[in-house]
Amino acid sequence: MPKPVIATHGLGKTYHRLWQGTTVAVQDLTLTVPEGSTFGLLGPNGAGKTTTILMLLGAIRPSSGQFSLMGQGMRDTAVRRRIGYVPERFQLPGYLRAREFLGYQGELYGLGGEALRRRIDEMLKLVGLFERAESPIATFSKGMQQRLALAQALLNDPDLLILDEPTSALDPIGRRDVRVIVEGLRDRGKTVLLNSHILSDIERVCDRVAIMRKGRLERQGSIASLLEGGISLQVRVGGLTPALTEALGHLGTGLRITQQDDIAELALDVSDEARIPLVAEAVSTAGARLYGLIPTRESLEDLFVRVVEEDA
Amino acid sequence: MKMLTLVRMTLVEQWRQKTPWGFLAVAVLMLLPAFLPLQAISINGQAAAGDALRGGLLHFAQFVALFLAAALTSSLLPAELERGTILLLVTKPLSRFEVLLGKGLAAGLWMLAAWTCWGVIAALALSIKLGSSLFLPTLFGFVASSLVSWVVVAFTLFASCLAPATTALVATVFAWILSMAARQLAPVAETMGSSMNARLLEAVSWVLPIGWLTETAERLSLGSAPGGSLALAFGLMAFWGLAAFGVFARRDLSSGG
Repeated sequence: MPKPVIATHGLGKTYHRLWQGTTVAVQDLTLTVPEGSTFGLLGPNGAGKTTTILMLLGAIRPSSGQFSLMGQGMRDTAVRRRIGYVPERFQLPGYLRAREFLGYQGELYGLGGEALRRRIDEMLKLVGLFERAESPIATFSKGMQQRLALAQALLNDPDLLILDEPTSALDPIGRRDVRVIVEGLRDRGKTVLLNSHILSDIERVCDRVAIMRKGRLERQGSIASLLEGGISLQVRVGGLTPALTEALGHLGTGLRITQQDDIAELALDVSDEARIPLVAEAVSTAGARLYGLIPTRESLEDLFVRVVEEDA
Repeated sequence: MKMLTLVRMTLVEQWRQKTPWGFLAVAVLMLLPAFLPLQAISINGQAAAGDALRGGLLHFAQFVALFLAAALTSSLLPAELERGTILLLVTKPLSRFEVLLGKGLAAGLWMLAAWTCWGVIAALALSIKLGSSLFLPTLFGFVASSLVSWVVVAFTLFASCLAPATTALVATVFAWILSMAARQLAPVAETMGSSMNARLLEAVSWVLPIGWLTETAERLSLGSAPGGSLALAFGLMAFWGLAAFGVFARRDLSSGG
């Protein structure tokens, strides 16, 4: 098991506001992000994802619990030299040019000289803004600003990259570019914490996810382990008999039948792949005709919706 | 090094956001005496006219300039908060103390430069009209006045750690007026036999004692400021600076204010 880059234990944040009362944003969060993983943080609006990220980065003070980043304690600012971060909402300073802004951010990381200049050029090319390097940020679209924010987060070649909704303002091409960048970082053994509502992106680039709801952690693990098991089968059968219906009921759960003339459409959930040939065999044994057998695995979106709606 | 970058970029921000236009307006005020018919206000001879004019200039210009100092400082942190770029600062390897000090130093340096420029302009204007002997005292008085503005910078920085830019500016002006009023009323309360109220008013008058600071700056320009006054001014600056840090260090920061 690789050592954790992020480890939280019982982390919590409660806001006490004079007129609005008490709000629990995050409670008892125990989370582990292993080194080299691409970790997706999921949850509906108000689940506490951004608050969690901001606590990890020292922008918000936790009310309870503790955490470590790359083995360092909460108060260590030097560890931020190895972290890149793209915030969820921002408006970059319009009075600066793109290259100036990156120079500013690079110097805040402690970089400088020719190495920084080279790195700025590399990052501007990486995010597709090299041609606009000397343009004032005030002339940039929201998507271009998001690309520039990503460039500043990569300037220090971070070991841990934290992206909070990094593609919210990007077009499909921009989203693909960000995916490619994240995949490149993953291939280089970097750790990425990605908070996004775009589940297809998460499913494509992340190997582990955590699902939060109402400030609590509901699920955590590798995508494979979270999605393993549940397979939905759609079966088209001619000549359905009560005996076959009973046999299929034993092979899976949640059997639903829709009859169309002589052909019945059946749907049932089976626990593993080994049950699929058994379903085909049961149809054949019962003397029925098999017109179609389509297995469908639960997607991350299905899991997400199921978890979020569990108690709703 | 990183903090100096923050100072430099804050100065650049102010420069590009046309802050110098406000300071230019003050500079124009400084130039006025060169074109005023001084004889018209001369009662007891040229020297008296010069003193009166210089004193009036110091007072008027300082009040306008101190307001500009508060206006400049009040937006430094709130602007970062509103843009959400504060998160790009506090998530870099910088402590919050460095972030706050960087912003405060930028405002302080900006004010020092502004007061020096105004001093040169005012000293030139007075020298042309009343003789070169006024050049150095006037210049020195203006440069020393930047000390007054640093206290305002520290107080406004404190207020801006608690509230948005406009509220911070209003709070600074309110504290300024309150201190001035308390200073005027304290002797009245004393003469009315209410020593407790007098002491309370005296304490309030030290929240942001612009009148006292302005007098200190004027005495400095005449070379007669006691060391204690300087120490007290630095003490006030340090007090509000530390108060600002106390608030900023504990504040939760998120994007969008």
